[in-house]
Amino acid sequence: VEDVAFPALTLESGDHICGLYAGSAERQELLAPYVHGGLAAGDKCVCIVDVAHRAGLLASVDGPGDVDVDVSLERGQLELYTTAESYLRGGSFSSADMVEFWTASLDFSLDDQGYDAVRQAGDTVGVSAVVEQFDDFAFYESELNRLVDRYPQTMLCLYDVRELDGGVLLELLRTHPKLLMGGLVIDNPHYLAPDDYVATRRARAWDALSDHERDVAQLAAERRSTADIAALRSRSRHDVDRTLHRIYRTLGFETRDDLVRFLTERRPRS
Amino acid sequence: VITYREVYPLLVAACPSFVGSKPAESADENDGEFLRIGYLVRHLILLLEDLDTESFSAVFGVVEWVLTEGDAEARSLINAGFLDDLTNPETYAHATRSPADFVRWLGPEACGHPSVQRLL
Repeated sequence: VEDVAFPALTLESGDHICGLYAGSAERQELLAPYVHGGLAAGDKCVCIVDVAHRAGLLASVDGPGDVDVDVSLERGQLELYTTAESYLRGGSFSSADMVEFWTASLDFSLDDQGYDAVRQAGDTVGVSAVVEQFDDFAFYESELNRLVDRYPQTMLCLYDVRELDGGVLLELLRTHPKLLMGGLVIDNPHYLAPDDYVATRRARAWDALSDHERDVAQLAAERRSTADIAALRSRSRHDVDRTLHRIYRTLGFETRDDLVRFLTERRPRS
Repeated sequence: VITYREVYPLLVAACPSFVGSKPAESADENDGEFLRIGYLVRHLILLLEDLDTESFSAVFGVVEWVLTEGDAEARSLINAGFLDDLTNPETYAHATRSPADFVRWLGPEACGHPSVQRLL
């Protein structure tokens, strides 16, 4: 059936797309063709879109190309979630929990329901107000790139530019390999693969440490005990322990081996 | 008064299964108390995943005891070490549990911690 309502989006399996909009009308212009195209193609569609914005979306998607949203909802081809049911389902945002959310959703859609492909979408309007640090959200966006490679799916992440500052926008460009602009999906030259993104974040976090913190980290990487470091720098053991703890958390290290590896890789090769 | 150096042994005594556990083996022999307590928190998350919560009353009893009777450094170790790690979502990577799942074991002093307050 010729779809006269929406121009066809050219999507490839594994696409992780960032769609920027300003206001609900523009959001609908991005989301409706994406959902409609998925339903018309017989794909599973899973969307995070808050209750206040659902009626408009469903009205836009319903009708053209024989898409009946009531039937799609009833038979589970279309699933809708709120922010509270998804990003904040654990009480606060957690990148690991959110990746788990999508993983479970994909397993259900593909294995239990038997769909061949899934279109996922996450509107983030209002999320910036409740996610304390965008850092973890950006990390989640980056980790999604590992997920989209493993399943026959596409992922559209929607952001209202009016809620974003320049720093957040930069992180979105670093974490999305594709951008949706003017109805076209285009490659994003600023994208960093997940491992490169983590390395870049760590390098920036390292540069942001104080001289004292970097000094303590260097001494710890020499396998010195906190008691030794405390004695060398005339600090209390508590101060050194707490400093190292803060460094591990800031740079995402779990063990001293992680710290040693990071500093060894940073060392200029002769 | 409970001192900084006494906190970690008290917590381990309250949770004997930590000794020899996978998180405990990740610790470096030169790690200090803050990092060691981080490994203990990871062990508690694994115990919760396995619904093995027998030791939790004792562990969180020690937490309350230190917050009530510890010196400034001991309380800092619990607040900025134990409770910060316990309430940090990143500590739960690869786990199906979340920080809120521990709230039922926390006493009134621990519940006063700012990052615990956000879970209540």
